[in-house]
Amino acid sequence: MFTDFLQFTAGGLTSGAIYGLLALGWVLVMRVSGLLFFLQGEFVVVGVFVIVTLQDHGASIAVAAVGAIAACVVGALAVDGLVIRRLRSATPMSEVLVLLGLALLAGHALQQIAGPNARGVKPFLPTKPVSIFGAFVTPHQIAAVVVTAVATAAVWFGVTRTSLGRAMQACADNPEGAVLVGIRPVRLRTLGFVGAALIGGVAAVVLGPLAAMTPLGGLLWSLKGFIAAVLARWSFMGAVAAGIFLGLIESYGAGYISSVYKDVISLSMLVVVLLLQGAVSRDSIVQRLRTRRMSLR
Amino acid sequence: MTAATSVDPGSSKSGGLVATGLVAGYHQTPVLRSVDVSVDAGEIVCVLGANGAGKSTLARALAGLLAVREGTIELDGCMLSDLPVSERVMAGVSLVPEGRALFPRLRVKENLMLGAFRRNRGGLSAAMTEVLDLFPVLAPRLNQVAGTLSGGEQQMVAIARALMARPTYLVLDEPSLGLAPIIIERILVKVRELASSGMGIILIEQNASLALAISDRAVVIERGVVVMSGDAATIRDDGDVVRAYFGGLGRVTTTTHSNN
Repeated sequence: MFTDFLQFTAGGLTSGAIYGLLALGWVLVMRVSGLLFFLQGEFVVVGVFVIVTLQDHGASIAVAAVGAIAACVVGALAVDGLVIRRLRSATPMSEVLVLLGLALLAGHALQQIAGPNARGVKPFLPTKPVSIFGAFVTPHQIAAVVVTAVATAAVWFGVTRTSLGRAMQACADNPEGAVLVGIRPVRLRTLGFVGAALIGGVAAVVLGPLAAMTPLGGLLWSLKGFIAAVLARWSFMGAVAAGIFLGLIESYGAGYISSVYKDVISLSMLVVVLLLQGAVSRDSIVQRLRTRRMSLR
Repeated sequence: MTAATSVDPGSSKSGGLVATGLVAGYHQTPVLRSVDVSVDAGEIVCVLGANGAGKSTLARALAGLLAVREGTIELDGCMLSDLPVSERVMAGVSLVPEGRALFPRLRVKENLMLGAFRRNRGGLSAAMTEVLDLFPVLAPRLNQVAGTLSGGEQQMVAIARALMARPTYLVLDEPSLGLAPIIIERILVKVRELASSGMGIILIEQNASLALAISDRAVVIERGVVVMSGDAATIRDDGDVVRAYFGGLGRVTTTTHSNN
């Protein structure tokens, strides 16, 4: 009974860590550009398929990981430079729809190239579970939690302790003021996209051995990050906590009720949270970015 | 302060911040229809005019927040009109906008550091010291969140933040807005100090009496065109001008029609 609980907790922490990682990417892009970054999950899927392909060709995990992360960054730069930057007079809504469309396009293109089958990264750590307080966890699960912790610390440091991070906060706080001190929001958006791509690539490396991916699965991963980001009201540290919370709720729900309800639980949580937040606050960061951003290109 | 400034702001001098024939606006009809303004180093030029005359539009155009449709903006002979805000800041032109545009959730210190975003790290602490010398009130407030300061202090942070970029020319848009007269005077004294140290300042103001008192020259805008420009003292002493454009110069200015 209690070991069940521990086991569900361990599973929830693992997937929650990944959700938190993805939520970090969402918050990063939202804070610098006000965009809903539906591509976040696509980076994970593309990353996993790059790793799998490179592994198929005999590459080591280190090479494959670097390749995956590089592919994600190149993809982010392409989306920013070739698409978003060209949408000069677009409204925020149309930009978001374009991103959503690109996410679908990426998934289907990948399906054309790689086929519809789910693929997983070959384990690169020992697969023998170890017992922690009576729960059995694999080294890959531990790696996911550790990597999320490290990534969170890195993002926290970058945002609060560097000049660029301060500029990001400034953009979120008062876009016009940011422009006036010489910050170029467009450059920061590029940086935010690259940051999100790095996060997606890293998530692919740690998630790949834990869960098989289908080419069209990216959007659901995106949504999980989105839900956590919304739960956290787009705060960086809150996003990770919300991701872990979401992972735990899903895991308990799947464990004690039925695994069929895993996604239903998190998606209905999104509906509830959006309803509550809409009723409680009109001064969300999203609102501020939405209303004041457009004239400041 | 240069005494022999040209009365005609459109004259062909190479120095200073010079805007010529500016046309700018937000929709089909331009707000600025043809505006010439210039300021020399060490000089304060005030831009006066009623609500909706185009004063803030001029400020935004000078800073680069708003694209210029026609006309040019030059800084010491270099063309600024096509440069983005960031490059104008680097060239030495900073705007303190109406409403201040502070970062209200960040600390005063962070606001000031962001002011120096375009500068190398080396000059940061020197610039900070200088700015705090000018506004010693801010020194004990450095770790306070900017949004919690009083209006006067926020205005000082706004000016201080702009100064962190070490501008040679400063555009101040309605620094007196919403502040008590004693605070306004305190701030305008600082503005005068800046000009004495060699900075060129364009002071956009609705409070004509205060602005004229510290300015060297004045430009009056009405419906997007310059209707008068010249020596600040002359304009101040010209009773007809005062009545025609400002309805009297008392500190408590009563407008005949509703403020809009």
